Amino acid sequence: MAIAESKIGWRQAQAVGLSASEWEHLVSVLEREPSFEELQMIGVMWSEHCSYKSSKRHLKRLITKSESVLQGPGENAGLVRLDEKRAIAFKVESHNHPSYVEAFQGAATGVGGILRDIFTMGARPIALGNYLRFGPLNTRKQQHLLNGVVSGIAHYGNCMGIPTLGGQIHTDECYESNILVNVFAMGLMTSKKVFLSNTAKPGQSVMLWGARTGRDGIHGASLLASADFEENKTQTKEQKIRVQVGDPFKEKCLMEATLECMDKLGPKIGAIQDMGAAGLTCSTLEISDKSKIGMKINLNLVPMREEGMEAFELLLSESQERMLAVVEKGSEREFIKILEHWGCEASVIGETILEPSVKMSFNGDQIVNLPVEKIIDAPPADLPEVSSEKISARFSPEDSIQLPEDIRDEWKALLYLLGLPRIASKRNIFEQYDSSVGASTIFGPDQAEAAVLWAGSPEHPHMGVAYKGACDESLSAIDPNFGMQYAMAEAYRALACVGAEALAITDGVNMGNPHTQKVQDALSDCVDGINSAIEVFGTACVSGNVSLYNQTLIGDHKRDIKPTVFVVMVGKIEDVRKSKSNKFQEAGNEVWLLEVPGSTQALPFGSAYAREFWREQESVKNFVPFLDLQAEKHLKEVLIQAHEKNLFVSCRDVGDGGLAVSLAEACFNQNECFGFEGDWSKYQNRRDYLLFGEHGGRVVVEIKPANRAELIKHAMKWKIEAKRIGSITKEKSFRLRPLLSGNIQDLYQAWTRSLGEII
Amino acid sequence: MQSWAVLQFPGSNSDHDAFRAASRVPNVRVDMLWHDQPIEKSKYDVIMIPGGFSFGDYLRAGAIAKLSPAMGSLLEAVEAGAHVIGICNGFQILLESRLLPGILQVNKGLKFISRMEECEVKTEAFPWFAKEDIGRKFRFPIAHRFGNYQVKDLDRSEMQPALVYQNNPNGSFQSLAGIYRKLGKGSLFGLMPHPERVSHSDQPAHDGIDLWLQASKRLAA
Repeated sequence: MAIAESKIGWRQAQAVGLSASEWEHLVSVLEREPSFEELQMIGVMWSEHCSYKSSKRHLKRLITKSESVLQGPGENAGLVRLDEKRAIAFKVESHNHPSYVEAFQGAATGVGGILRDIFTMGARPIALGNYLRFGPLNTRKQQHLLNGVVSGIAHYGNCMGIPTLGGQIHTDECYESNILVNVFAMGLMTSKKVFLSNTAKPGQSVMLWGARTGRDGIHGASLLASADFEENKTQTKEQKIRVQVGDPFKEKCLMEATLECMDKLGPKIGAIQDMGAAGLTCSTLEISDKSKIGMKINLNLVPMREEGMEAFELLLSESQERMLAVVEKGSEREFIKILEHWGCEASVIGETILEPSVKMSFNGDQIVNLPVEKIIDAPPADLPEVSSEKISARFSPEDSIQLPEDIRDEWKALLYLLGLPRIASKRNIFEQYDSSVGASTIFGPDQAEAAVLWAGSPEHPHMGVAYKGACDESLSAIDPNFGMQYAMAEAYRALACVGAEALAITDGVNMGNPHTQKVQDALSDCVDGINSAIEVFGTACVSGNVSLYNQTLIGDHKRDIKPTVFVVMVGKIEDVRKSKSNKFQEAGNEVWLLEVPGSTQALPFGSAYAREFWREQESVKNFVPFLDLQAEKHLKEVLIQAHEKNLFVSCRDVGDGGLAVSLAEACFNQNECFGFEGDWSKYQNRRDYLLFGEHGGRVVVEIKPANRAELIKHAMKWKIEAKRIGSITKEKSFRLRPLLSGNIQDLYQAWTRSLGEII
Repeated sequence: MQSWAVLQFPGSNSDHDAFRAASRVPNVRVDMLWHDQPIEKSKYDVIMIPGGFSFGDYLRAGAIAKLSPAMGSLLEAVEAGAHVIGICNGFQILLESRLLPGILQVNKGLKFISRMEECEVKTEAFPWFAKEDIGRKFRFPIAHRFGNYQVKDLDRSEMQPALVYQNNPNGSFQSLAGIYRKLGKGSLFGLMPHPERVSHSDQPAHDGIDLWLQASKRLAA
């Protein structure tokens, strides 16, 4: 059907998810009604997933520039400078709704998607990470989802041969019918060989590389990822066909072929973009928009998986393992030769034109003629204004507040905390991910505070890279701004614990329905929080992802998830040989606590302990732990300099569960469990605070006794307090006198058993 | 100058790891060989068949790769003096090709396992282990789902149980991590652990380095 004859009207527009005002806007910019296929394309382009229409106004406030940033948000991935010649490409992306509908494939294709983003830039992927949220794991449903997601990630990442070295898993009721699956990938490249989507010129050939186009994933971006998500059987079945199916072997071949094309034929590539959400629609429109050109595509030339596919299916299919490349005319055969060597199909499906419109034909009819500039941006969404009143997190309670009683059974509490899903050993999970492939792993899961890889070159033979993801949604639920500052500080500190200077971040935003005041406020506050930290740490945001409409059904009504924003921070290490593990290494060594000064609260606010043991105490629910961003920077200086001088034997951030939990975890060395002995009788604080209190700016370090003076000197220089809190012992007991004492093996059991039984 | 080669299939993913590990050995030249050509008969001292998922391993690990022209020519190359080391998927391919006996089943826990394992040398296996290496322990990473090695009858005269795990992670027969066969002027060594992934001196554990160095020295002697 040709454009002139079509009259489809408002009802079909509704079916693709357009609002009445969006429909009016569309008709007015086109000066006619769209054809059926055009409407399908607009439906997906203007979906939340592709257009960021409800979050854009907040995200554009993020600080995205710094000395080390080579490419900020807007491309397939962000880029930071590693050294004079090389750059790191990285990004985090979500695959939440697909993973709830089909855990294995949803998570697997999430990994596939993020890896394509990385190698599309010209980088060879070197590491993966995953950041997951589930409902409480005591139901079979959640256990099934967890197992499905973990094996999906393992299946794809392991087959691709990219090591998975880091991640985070929390559970909360708010994720019960809306789990979160965010995946991170990082790649290494030559800075001069960057490939972008804004460099195509008119008169070049448009090629499709990789897998054939099938009917899978149609409407994935618009109706699965960008809409309220109802759980009922008929719909879930319908939603299943919108989840793509991944083939990691095909992607591995596509990756090798693409990287080889870039290496050998780089100058002949005009532009390149991976085909993820909204497949052919998004990739053709985005390359055209960014390069300020147009395209003429013949849909009959798209290699199809099955006969009889309709034009709109070809346009919307989210079949995986495909790339759109614009190459110089006459060079097509050279590309096809390399792609065929790797068993990948490649076909020319059209050409670029001067007129900035995307024109598509099918069976001889022109069915699409879209003026790119006019339709590329969704019209501004009608959203609630951000409220001017700010929630402000509080550290210290007024005298009038009734405080909960101090703890009585410390040992039992420690055992309990060690078994909490967010603290317990994730060994049965991370051992399913290949962590040694790539032959560059320095520290993998549960070996150090951040994942560390060797990334040496002839000029910098011992250089390394590190990354750490962080997010504490329980703090963000109290105050999103504070929650983000806390997460940024945690990632920054973790990098310093392995001797890495932080470079930049990527952020994975996951929130509820954006049409509510609360979510709009939270989006705005989170950006403020991230920016406050960037201003101090200098770690600009170079890429990211937003997933909205994450809601869980509780009883009859849907409740938004807690604002869950993962920040993954990437850092650089001058000499990986000096990087330290977070496990105790030798009996007889001293253990010191390095602490930023200023925390006067001396109460375990915002800690795992408070969440579990103060559940009923409404009066103290909204207090948060102490944090001082400037002091974090000073602590980092101490840590980096101590690494350079090799002062530490091991180094661990005091995280979830406070000091007692962190010390116990440091004793759980894979080769042998150490014991710990400390005399804490001189400390006058409440017992619950001493053992389980959490706040920013605390790091536990293991040193040789001979290095004591040097450590104190360094700490004093940066106004960081240093306290000797005990020693590592051969004897298998864990003693924090006079607070608690027991067998380290019992603690180890509690730590390994809880998740061990589920996975 | 010794000539070593890494045999590459679509889906190999430790090919670059093996290549880099071998390239760091002094006086060794390394070629990357694509599976679609027969291997030149007397050209290589060592041929590495790397880990990965050759051809996606959708049928059975290694079942398609064994049909390649390169694998078809491997036996001749070994008889002429090449020493083949098949790591992980490479071991699977050697078993599928019937160049080594036995099969690899799914791990006893049914899951993929990635961790460091201590492995002990059990026999002399030229050029990899000398007599004085017997009893020596290496720390190598494993990363596999099909690593549960089962064999009915290991004919000791020709097949040697070269390497065993200290803590059998996958249910392998007699904790076997690798087996060795002398053949003609060459040999075949198949193993599940990945020495090539711990072959950089900046890594906290780097036991792979010595394996390659010693092999190269013994070949030169």
